[in-house]
Amino acid sequence: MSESQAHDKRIKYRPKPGVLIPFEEKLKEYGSITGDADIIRKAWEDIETYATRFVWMCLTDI
Amino acid sequence: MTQAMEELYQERLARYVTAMQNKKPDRVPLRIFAAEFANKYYGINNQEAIQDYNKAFAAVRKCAQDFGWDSVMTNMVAVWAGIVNQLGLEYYQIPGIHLPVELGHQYVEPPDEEGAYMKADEYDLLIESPTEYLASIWIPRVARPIQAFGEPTTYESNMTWLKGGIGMVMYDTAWGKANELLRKECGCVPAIAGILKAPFDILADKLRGFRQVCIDVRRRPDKVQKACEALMPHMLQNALFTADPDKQLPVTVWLHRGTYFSEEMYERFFWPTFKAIIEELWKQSFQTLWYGEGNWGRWLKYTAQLPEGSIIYHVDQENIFEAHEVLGEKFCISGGIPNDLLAMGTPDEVKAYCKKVIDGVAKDGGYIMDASAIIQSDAKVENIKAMTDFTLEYGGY
Repeated sequence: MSESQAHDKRIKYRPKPGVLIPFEEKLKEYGSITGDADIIRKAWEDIETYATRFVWMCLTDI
Repeated sequence: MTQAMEELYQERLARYVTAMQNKKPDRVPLRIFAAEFANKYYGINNQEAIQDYNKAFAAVRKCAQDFGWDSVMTNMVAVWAGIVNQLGLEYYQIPGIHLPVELGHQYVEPPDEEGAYMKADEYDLLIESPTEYLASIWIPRVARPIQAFGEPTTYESNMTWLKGGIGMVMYDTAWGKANELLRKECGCVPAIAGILKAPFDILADKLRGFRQVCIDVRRRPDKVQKACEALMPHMLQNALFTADPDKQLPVTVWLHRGTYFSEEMYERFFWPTFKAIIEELWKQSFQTLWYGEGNWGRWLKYTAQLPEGSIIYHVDQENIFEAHEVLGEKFCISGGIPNDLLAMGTPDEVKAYCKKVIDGVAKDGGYIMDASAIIQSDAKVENIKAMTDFTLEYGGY
């Protein structure tokens, strides 16, 4: 894959601390939802924070 | 858990926390970072300790029980090689695989630009999106089975991501249980909760390597500075996520490279982002255990800028009496008992040194007894006993 092709495939968002994939991106994937977005957000973000820890653990702990 | 053991735990917790707040508890607390020493005392080698965390945790508990320490690091090795095995980390040397079983694990630094885990022309990628950079480029580069961004994914690559994450969850869960056992079986307090590294140390330790970062501070100083600034909020987040929810135990920062630089370099690259993290942690009521490895005495005037009570200053090779003179009004001091004395001295020499330190820095409280550096397998059992017993006898207020 060329550098420009690789660059095009980069994610368009820049994950903030504690986030791998922002919930807003997941909402776009759903389109419309029938219930409370905040309930889904909590379930999503609880894993996000711990999963982000794994990525950074490789740098800080091991 | 018996009531007596819980009472002992609460007594030790109060002692430890009071000292960390730079106040005077009933006695100088003993907070011991027993690393390879615990393995040797328990009767296991370093391969067993690093591959089997239950044995490593049990080794520390045995020390806590037999010596009667107030606080101890739950597992000084702090790494379970199960995770490292799965990730196939290039920079890791493991006893029993790469190294003799009696040696501790080692980190391999890249010798040159070609071997650097982060390339010189990747600074902008790191600065722009640090998490993405780590996940897409750095981890695939250092973890052998994981495919790089843009390359076709493989079964092995996908499974390595999965198993690495599972390994982290397993180890975190086991650590929590080990802390409970320390409390229930030994009445002993876990010494720390939470991990922090200075942004500059991250660049030097795991990304560019020390040799390359020495070149970078000359050839691309703006990039180095911006990289430290980009890493800072992520280091803070990592520390907060792993911190003690009760805000009693300190986050620990393991400090490595700042001792090698000029004041100009320290002031520009190391200090600003590191200071900002400690200050923000303190705003949120988390203390930081400043565990500087080596001699950080040159930088006492910078350390003194930190908010009162925000750190516990651990002494390794600098002069503890000078450190106390500069920092003692504001911060608790710990450590300062030389590891070579614990390895090569006599019990009487150890006791005499402990007396000198307690007399010199502990009389107003705010001192915690510990060795200067993590205690390895060369320390004599009788000397560790001497340090412990003397503190128990002489360290009362």
